Amino acid sequence: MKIKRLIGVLFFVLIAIMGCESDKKAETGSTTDRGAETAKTDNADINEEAAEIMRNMSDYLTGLQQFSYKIAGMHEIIDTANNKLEETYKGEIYVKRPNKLRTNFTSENKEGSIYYDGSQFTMMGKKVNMYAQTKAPPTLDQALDSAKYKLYLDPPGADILYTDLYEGLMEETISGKLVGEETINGTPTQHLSFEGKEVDWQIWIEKGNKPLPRKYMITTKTVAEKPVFSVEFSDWKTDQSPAFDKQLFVFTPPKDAQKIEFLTPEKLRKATNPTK
Amino acid sequence: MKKLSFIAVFFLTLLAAEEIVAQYAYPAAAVRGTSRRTARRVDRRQDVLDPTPVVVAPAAPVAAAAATTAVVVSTLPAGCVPRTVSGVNYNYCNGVYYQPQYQGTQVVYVVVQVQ
Repeated sequence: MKIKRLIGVLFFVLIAIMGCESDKKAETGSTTDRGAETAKTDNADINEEAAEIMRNMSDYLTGLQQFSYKIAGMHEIIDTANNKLEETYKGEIYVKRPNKLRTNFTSENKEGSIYYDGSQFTMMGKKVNMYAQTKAPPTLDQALDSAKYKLYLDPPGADILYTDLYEGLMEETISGKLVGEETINGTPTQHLSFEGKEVDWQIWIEKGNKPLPRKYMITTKTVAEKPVFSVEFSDWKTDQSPAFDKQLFVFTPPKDAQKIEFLTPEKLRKATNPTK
Repeated sequence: MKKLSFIAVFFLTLLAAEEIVAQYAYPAAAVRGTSRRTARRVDRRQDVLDPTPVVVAPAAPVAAAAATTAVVVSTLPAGCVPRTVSGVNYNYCNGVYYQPQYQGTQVVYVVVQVQ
């Protein structure tokens, strides 16, 4: 009898787990099956004109050894009561290839800077006057991945900071087309729209010989409320000289700032599972 | 019998652990955010960068205790005092040590054992 009851309990627990898993997938687009997601876009239905505009932007950005721009945008968050909340932010980004990045940002309750100097990440929050530092990989591409997955740091629109961003953007894209021409903050652009598996996205690329992204928007389809992320890029500085001041990427701690640690996914797991 | 109950406990604690993480991994009220990237390739690379360890079930009483105490919070409880132990700064709140840490750009407070 006891065994039967136990088997019953076990069965119930299994069903509960499976239920949770599928809920989670529906809500957040769990990436646990990512090993199976090896889809390639060779068969994707990308309009040739749209593809060419994208390639031009990718080549142009990848070819810039140093550049800076401003960002302003918003992203939507679904809270525990299923309400859509909008969070706005602004910032500046400075990039020196192959391995330097600096961002300054402000949002509703935060103000700070992120530094990547080729060997170290620093996160400095001005309002809390605390900073954290940790080792970083040697290239910007690796650093962006590492920052996102090891430190939960993900500059808005980081897609465009990767070298060869065309490949990265197109990887999960199913179809794409040129929508038309549009002026963004006074700059004539070409508006492109793409459909992906988990996200749909649009990008507005400057017309002419500087094919820079001017606006970027992502709609998340794996969440029922379909939240939107959008960012506008402005004040592009693409002159290769004079070179950026090296100090721009080097963090000097303010005297009274408190040094703290980064919470990594590993530490979070340990904190929530103390016997590990 | 022993095996069966062990398996049941294992699944139960797995479930408990998932719930705790789900609850506290995002310390702000927000539970689900927006993709800021399209590049799914990065997600796949995560396996290499950050291998997800096999979850080992803790003893059941620990999981039960953990379920009642938030281990990562976005704001400190009332009545905290700063305390420095071995050069590390903590917030000492009603017998519990909280250590400030950056989860991305957000400062969160993690419950830690301080000797």
